[in-house]
Amino acid sequence: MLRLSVPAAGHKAGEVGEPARPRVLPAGSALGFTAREFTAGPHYGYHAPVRAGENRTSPAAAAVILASGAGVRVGGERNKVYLPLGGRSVLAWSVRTFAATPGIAALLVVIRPQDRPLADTALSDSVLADTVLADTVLADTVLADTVLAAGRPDGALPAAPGRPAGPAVEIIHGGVQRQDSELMALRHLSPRITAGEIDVVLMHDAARPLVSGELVSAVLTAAAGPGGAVPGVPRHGLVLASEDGAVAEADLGTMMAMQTPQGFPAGPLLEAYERAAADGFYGTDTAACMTRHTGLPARCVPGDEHNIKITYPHDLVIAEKFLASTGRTPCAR
Amino acid sequence: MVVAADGPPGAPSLLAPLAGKPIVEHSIDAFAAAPEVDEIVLVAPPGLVRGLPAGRVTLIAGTAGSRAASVARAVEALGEAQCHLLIHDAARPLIGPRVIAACAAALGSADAVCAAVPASDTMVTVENDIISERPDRSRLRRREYPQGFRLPVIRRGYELALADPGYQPTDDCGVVLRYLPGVPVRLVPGSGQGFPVTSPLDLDIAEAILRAQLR
Repeated sequence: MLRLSVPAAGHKAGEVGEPARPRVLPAGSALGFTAREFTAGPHYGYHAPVRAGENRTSPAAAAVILASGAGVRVGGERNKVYLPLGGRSVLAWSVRTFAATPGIAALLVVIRPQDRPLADTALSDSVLADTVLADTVLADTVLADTVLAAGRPDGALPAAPGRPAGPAVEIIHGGVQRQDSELMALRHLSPRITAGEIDVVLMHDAARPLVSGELVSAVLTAAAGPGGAVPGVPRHGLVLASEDGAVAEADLGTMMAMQTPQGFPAGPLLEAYERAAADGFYGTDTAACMTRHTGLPARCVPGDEHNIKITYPHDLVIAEKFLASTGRTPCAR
Repeated sequence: MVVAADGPPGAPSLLAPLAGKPIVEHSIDAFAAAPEVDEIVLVAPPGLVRGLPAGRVTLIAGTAGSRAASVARAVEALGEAQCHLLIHDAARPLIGPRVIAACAAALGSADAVCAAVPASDTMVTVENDIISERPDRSRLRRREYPQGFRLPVIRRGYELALADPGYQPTDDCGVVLRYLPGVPVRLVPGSGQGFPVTSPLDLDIAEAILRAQLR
C-alpha cells in the first residue's frame, strides 16, 4: 500500500507557511489499490525498515524528491512539476519510480506550502492508480519471479498478500532555496539516519520525471562511497559567455551535465548541510555542499540521456515521446 | 546558407516528411519568410536537390567531400561581396523568425554571431570518474544554429582550417573560434529547439512540437 502521510515532525513553528496537517489516504481511495494487486506491482521491492546492526549487505536509502522550486519558466503560473505528462503529473512519474525501486526505505516529497492541493492531487490521482494496476500485469510475471529466484540479501521478500508494504510517501514543506529544502528533508530524516535505519540519501529533482529504476539503483549502489555519486552525461562544444555576451572561452573540452538523483552517505550529508546552514553557505547542487564539507569529490556515474529536466514547454513533448519510446506507456486518455 | 550535410548512420533523410513537407524545406521556408534575408544558398548533394520544388533557392552549391569542404566551396562561390552570411544546419528544422532576426541584427555590429542557449544542467569536468571542476553555470552556453559571419571572416576561417592537417570537424562557429581567435563571436539567445534530427525518435519529437505549436 502506498501510504500518503504528512508528518508534522521536522518542522519548527514558523518555518512553513501553514501548519502541516496529517493526512493519510485510506485504502479504497484513489491510491488504494488492494494488497493483492500490490504484491506483484511496482512495490515488489519493498524492504522492511532496516534496523541498525541488522545483517544486511545492501544500503537502505531515503529518496528525497524536490518539488519546492518555483519552476514557472516552462509556462503558465503553475509549478512545472504539476503540469500533465502522459496522463499524470510530472511529479508523479518519479515518485512511482522511486517507490518501485528496491532499497528505498523512505520516500519524501518536498513541496511549497502553497502547492499543497496540487501535490495532493498529483499523488492521489485516480489515473495514477489505474496505471499502477496496468503495470502490475507486466511486473507479475517478470519481476516477482526474479526477486524470488535471486533471494534477498536482507531477507526481505515481496510483501505477502494482505500485508501493507512499500515506503510511505511523506510530504513535507520546503524552504526558499533548494538547499533549504534539502536541509529540511534531512532534518526530517535525521532520527532515522541517527538510528542507522538509513545509510544513503538520494536527492532528486522532481522536474526529471523520466528517471529510470536502473539509474536509481546504480546511484544507490555507488552512493555509499565517501563523496557520494552523481549521474552525468557528456556534453561537447560548450562555451563560456562573457558579461557582454561574447564567447569568452571556447575550448572547454568535454564536460559532464549533472543529473539527479545524486546519492550520498546519509550521516555525512546531514552534517554537511547543518554545517552549511550554520555558515550561510549555498552551493549550486547537493554534491557541491557535500564536497565542501568532506573535502571529498563526488564520483560521476553514467547518467541517462532520457533523464531530461523539464525546462522549456517543448520538453514536455519530448518527455512524452521518450516515455512512449521506452515502453512506459502513458495513461489511457 | 542552408547546409544539408549527411547525418550520422540511421539519421532520417533530409527529404523525410515532417509535418507535411521534407525536413530540409522547413529551414528554406523559414529563411524565405525572413525579411532580413535577400538570398538563399542551398548546399546539398544533387539527389536531395532534385526532391525539392524549385524557385526560392537562388544558388545551389553541390557538396564536396566533407561538410567543411562543402561549406568552404559554397562560400567561395559567393565571390568577394561584403555580405553577411547566416549558416544553418538543415537537420535542424525547428528554426523560427525570432532567432533569424536576432542573428541578422547582431551581425550589424559583430563579425561573427552564434545562436546559443544557457546550459540547463550543472556542468562539471570529470577526471578518472571524479568531479574536478565546476564552472559558473550561469555563463555556460550550448551552441546552436544559425551561425552568422561577415563573408570574409568565414572564408578566411575555412582557408586556415582546410590547410591544417590536424583540423577536427566542428560547427562553423568553431572554425572561427579555433582559427581566428582574435575575432569576437557574439552569442545570440537561441530557442532551445535547435536540436538536430538524427534519429526517427527525433523526427517524432519534432513533429509533436510542431503539432503542439510550441514555437
